[in-house]
Amino acid sequence: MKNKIITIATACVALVCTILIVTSPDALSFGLGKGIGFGDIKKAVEIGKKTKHAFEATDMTAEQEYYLGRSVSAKILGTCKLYEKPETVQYINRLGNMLAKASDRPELFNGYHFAILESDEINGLSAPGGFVFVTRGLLRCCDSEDAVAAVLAHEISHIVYKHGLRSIRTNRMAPVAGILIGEAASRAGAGQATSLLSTFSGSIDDISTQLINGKYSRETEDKADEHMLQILQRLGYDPAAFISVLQALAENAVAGKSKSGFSKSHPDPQWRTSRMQNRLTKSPAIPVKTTPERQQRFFTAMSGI
Amino acid sequence: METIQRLCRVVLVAILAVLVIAWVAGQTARVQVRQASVRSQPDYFMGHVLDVIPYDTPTKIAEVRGTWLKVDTEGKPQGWVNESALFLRGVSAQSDSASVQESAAQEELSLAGRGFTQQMEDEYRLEAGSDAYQYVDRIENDALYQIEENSLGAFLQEGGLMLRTGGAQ
Repeated sequence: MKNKIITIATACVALVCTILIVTSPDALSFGLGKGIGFGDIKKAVEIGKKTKHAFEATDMTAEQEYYLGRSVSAKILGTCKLYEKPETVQYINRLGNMLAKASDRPELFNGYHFAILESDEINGLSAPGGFVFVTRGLLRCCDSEDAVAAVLAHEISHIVYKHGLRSIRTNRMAPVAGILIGEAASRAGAGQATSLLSTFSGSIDDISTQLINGKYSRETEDKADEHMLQILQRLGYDPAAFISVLQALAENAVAGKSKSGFSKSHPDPQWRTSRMQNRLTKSPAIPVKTTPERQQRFFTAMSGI
Repeated sequence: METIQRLCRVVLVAILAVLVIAWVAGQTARVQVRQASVRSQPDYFMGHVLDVIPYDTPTKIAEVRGTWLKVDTEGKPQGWVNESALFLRGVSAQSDSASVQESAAQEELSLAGRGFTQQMEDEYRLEAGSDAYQYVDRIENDALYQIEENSLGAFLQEGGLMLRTGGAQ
């Protein structure tokens, strides 16, 4: 009797899901999530269905995102110098690239790049296209490789979720959507070329203003923290290390050392700490093992920071 | 009852997975990054890079394993590429100014040269008059910022780390 029910139920489910797939590609998103790891593949099903929606900034190609990100980075680097102690720069690029490969978006048009800003402010920024910036001040808040990994993984997560692109004003893309999706390139006249430049420049302004002067919403930061946790757990880092960073941020905020920067752009360290603790108690305990080599290479790379 | 529900969910996910894999395999994708590495194994930290495929090259998907696709590319060895390096669909968008083409036709279009390009950056730079691009170039190209792809596996091991299932795995 029980077997019969199972058979009938399975047959019904199979039928329903086939119908769902044929009629709505969105149906895929409930069964196949990050767990199985299909990511973008489910979007491929959309080819089968002609969804016509307005072109949004997050629809742009990896190449378009990259060129926007270069100019946003130029704006950031126009205001702050680079700190370039070779050991430190090499270390955060190794670490950052390893973390990026464990993220949900390991490949970008020209890969991920990590740079240190010569600033005592406590700040971390990431421009679209894979440019991650952390200040010396922020690195000083990290007391282990696991903590640096958490900070970099948080910034990587903003790129994974295209948070920078999402700060582009709505409808900014509309006048040049045809060119951006590649259908109107050949017949783009002089007028189109002018709107293209103003769209490009407007988008750079929107993102830079967001990154340099603004702050992401709580939800956005929370989403980045959530994926950061996934990245750390996938690699075997201790996610609790991030709590120590948040505490250092909270102390700095109290001491008034950081009127601007990370504590401004990444608010509420206490709230984020409790969210993290909550997640950690919910997620299954994965044993974290550290090696003396890990801590040793952290000290070597960070001496002088 | 709970057992049945759980079983049905498992079966549902399995069926979906099989259908998607069957659907994706056989499709043509385009390389959406400057250079996609073709690997001997579907893993970043094991195996090695067999070759690279340049931007915008069409490639045929032969097999799907997690987020990795085994691809056949003309003149290149068969191997594994991460899905995030490939463009699998045409964005079927519409704008006020342009007519909407069929999605299938979009698939055939080149990814390169769609507006936001090096040429656009050059025009913008001229207007903005910024000299900070030299630092951006430095971050991207200077040896100081470069890392050996193949050294990451050793960096992982040395740190007592390993890539567990999920995401990029």
